[in-house]
Amino acid sequence: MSIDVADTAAAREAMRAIVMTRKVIVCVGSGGVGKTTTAATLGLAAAAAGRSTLVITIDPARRLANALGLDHLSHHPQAVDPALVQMTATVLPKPVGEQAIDEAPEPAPLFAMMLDLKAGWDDMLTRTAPDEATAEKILANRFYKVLSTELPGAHEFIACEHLQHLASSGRFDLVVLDTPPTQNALDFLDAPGRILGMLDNEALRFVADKSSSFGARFLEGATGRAQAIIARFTGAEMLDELGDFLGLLKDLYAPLTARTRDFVALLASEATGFVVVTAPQSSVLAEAAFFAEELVRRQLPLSAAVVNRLTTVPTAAMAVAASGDMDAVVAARVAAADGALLTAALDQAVNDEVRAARAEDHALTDLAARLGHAPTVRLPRLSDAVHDATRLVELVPWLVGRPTG
Amino acid sequence: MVELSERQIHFVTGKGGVGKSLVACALATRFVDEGHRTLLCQVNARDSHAQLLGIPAVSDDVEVAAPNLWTVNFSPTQATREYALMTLKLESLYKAVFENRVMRTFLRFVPSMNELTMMGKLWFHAEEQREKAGFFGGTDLPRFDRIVVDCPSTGHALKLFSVSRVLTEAVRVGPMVEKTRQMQTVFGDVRRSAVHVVTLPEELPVNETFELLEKLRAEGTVAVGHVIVNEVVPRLFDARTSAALDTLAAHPAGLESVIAVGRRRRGREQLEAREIERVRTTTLPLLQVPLIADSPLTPVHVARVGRLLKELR
Repeated sequence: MSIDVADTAAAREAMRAIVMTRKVIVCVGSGGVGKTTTAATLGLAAAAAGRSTLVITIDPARRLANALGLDHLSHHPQAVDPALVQMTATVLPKPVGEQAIDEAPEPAPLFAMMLDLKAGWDDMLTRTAPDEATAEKILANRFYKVLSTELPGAHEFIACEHLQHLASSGRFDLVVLDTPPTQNALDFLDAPGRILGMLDNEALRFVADKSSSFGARFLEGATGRAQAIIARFTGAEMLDELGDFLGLLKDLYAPLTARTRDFVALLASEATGFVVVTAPQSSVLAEAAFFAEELVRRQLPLSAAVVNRLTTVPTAAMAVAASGDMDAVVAARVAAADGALLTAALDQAVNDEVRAARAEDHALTDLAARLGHAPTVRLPRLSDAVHDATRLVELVPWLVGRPTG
Repeated sequence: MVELSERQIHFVTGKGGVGKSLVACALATRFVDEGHRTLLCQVNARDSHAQLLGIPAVSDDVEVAAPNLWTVNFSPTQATREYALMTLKLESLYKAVFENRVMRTFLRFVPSMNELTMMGKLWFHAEEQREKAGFFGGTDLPRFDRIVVDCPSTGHALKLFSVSRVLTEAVRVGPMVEKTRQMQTVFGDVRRSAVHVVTLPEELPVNETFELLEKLRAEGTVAVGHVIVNEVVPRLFDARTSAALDTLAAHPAGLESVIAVGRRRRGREQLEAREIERVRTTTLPLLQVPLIADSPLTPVHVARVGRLLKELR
């Protein structure tokens, strides 16, 4: 049986504690494993349990909007239909024992937003630039667009920055981040350092030196020679404009460093929980295990793993199919020729499920060994893809409650 | 109209986790089987081709992996170096520019620089001629008859196809912009290049496929070839067996658990069929690859999918 009853009940209890106590939950994992669905479900569970919650996604594919029943998401937190949170509250486990039913907290509001990269950088620059004039000059520069949307790590940097900014705004008890799809999950952890590394270097110090005109200094020495060569394939005009831009950026180094220090501290603190999301196929499980180990190595709070879309071994159906009783019953109900076809189809369907469940189980054994103490919550594959809000509610008990199905 | 299989360059893309590498490897296998000299490329990826094909680890250099099969991983560093050497001709000039830290920073701010150099490397291999052999030397035969590119997932892949536009916007004129024009004569040639989109028969992946196709068309830099729907569950319940299942379900007589499995399977089949119908509305040629229950995937699976991809015309 893939879903071990006792283990997963404990894991769901642990997940519930995470949802109830953390200020920040970061969902990480490779693409296509249900990361957005998991983030939305955790947000829904927290709001239903009385915590005012914001779910942030960077996925431009509108998955979060779809999942939460919103037409679209904007760069600003948008309220999710309170009826959905109410509906979720009814499927959460009630407080037991002496705590009366009226102890159950009132559901809190749930918000969702899609981080727009350009708007995110604009927003941060306006907040952190030393003065308005500098901010305006930067925003107007052609290369600014490159910094904000094209540089490796730009997504991740602005996601962390906004996460910290919103989590400390006092508006939300919990902020859940659905991390951007990365080719390599580690990009997310390395991005802040990479952006800062780019801003703190000789190039900036070089242009920061105001003793002579930028263009003149550019033509001197080794760099001047390099510039002359490089102009052969970029064009000289571009280099001049780029130089101006880097000149403006030097003023940003100090404020960006301060912002980075803030969010790195938040991510490493006990207020944060990292949830590694995966699917049960060996290719993505290997990535998840590697990522979990990397979180631990960097002393970041790995809190739980979520395995989505597991196939459950159809134990009862297996027994029936193996007993050979099926043929007689089917023959008694269905015309002979159709009966034979149906029996064959049912046999095959049972076999396929068993085979899928075993392959997944095998692949999961390795993950368990590499996750250490982190609880692993396992969610079944639902008969339908989770794309509308009510299906999302069905997932909540599997994540933090007591599923009946 | 040149048949798709006759084209030289085949990009394979789609959202994360849909099986792009499987399809790319299978397509390369098919071309190799047909006797074509085939180059299979990964784009700045953790090597998955070695395991899928049972070949030695793929490196940043073009290497022979099997008869008629060459492999390579395009890393930005290596591609930039090769691109620069190609443009600057001399190693010492390359060092003066690329090993100068100030200049390196400047280069990082050139938009789509990585994509430009990686597409530049691909362009170079597409244009490469076979080494001259024998007394009369070589003819105009290309070094590679077929090139299959296992692209990164949607967003990153789109950047490969928008290089020309992004660079023109940022840099306007100059040798790099010229280069992208030159590359476009190869990638934009419908007789030479196509991009195939891989998806799953599920609602969200199909939605994303529509969005991707729209963006690819808007960008207009490479012709769209096939849509490949991967992981389709084999159909067990047609109209006849489905009716029989309903008849049985009316009087289950101890078969409830099996009927539940049957219904679950039928539900999934119907859902997938609906999604496949939606994909058909694109009117693009469509191929289905059945779900493989085993994991991890092995060269045996890849060969099987490769035979299916012979339908790609």
